[in-house]
Amino acid sequence: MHKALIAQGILSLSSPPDRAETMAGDLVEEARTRGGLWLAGALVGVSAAMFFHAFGAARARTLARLGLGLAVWFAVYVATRVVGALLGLQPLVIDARSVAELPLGTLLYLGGLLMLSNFVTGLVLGRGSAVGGMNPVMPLAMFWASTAVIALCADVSSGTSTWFCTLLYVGGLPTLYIAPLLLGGMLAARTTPSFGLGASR
Amino acid sequence: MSPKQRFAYNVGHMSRTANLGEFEQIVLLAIMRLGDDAYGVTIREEIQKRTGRSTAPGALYTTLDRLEQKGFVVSRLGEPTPERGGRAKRYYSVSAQGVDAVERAQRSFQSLLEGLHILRKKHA
Repeated sequence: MHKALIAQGILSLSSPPDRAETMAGDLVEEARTRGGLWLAGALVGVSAAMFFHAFGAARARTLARLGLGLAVWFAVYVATRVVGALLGLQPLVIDARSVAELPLGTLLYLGGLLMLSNFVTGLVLGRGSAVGGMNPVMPLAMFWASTAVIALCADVSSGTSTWFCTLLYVGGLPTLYIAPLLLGGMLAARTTPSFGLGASR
Repeated sequence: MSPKQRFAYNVGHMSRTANLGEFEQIVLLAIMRLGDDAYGVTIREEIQKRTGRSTAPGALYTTLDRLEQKGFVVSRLGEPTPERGGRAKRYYSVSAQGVDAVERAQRSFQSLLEGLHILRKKHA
């Protein structure tokens, strides 16, 4: 039951609620013989396929939603950073090369700010109308995911990658950016009648 | 009919009758074979059984969505079942328009195969 609920929640980010429900049921039914790992892979594959399907059907609206998402995220992040600097919690400008040398407390605080700004962005965007059947946070989530993959590849191929950067791309972007954004989007969608997680027949 | 008129006729005819891709034909034929029991899991199994081709769930769902938008398949919701975590099945059936589209696509293939004798050569 929990697997189905989680699967439906994930799929409802990239497809309309009624479709998400039936697809989640199909995947959970097949996962009984194929296992949990197959289910996880299938969820990622179906979500990506449905995202690109919706993107193909509404390119301009998806890109507009991505632009709006970036603007909201940037505004929230800058506001929290300025407030933090005014309160003396962190320096306003941080040299990217010296991030790894910051005290652990400041690093955790900055990570928290990133999570908060993405969560708030998810809450704001998630209340909007669906784009081609997908949750409005999906364009920004896919943008962050693409950024992580491209940045990791560029970093590794340059031959100057550091443990800090690799950790940031592999673990940081999914944890600090994508997960809170999707969580905010899902919570906002639950409170918006037209885009809830429940079955709609 | 002049070449200009023939071109206009062909373009008009093509826009009225959406063409089917290979995978779309496979999905439509699998749904037809399954009859009343055609839903995501059984369609994938039927394709695997008949063609030996393993289909990604994402590819199947986007194709079903596209076929439904084109009016070639219609879907209805079944009852929720416990082995599916209480989620309903979405059953698909091929519309008359879908049957026409498959027939048209098959006729095109037959027409292209005519006179080539490739199948006979292989079995000889």
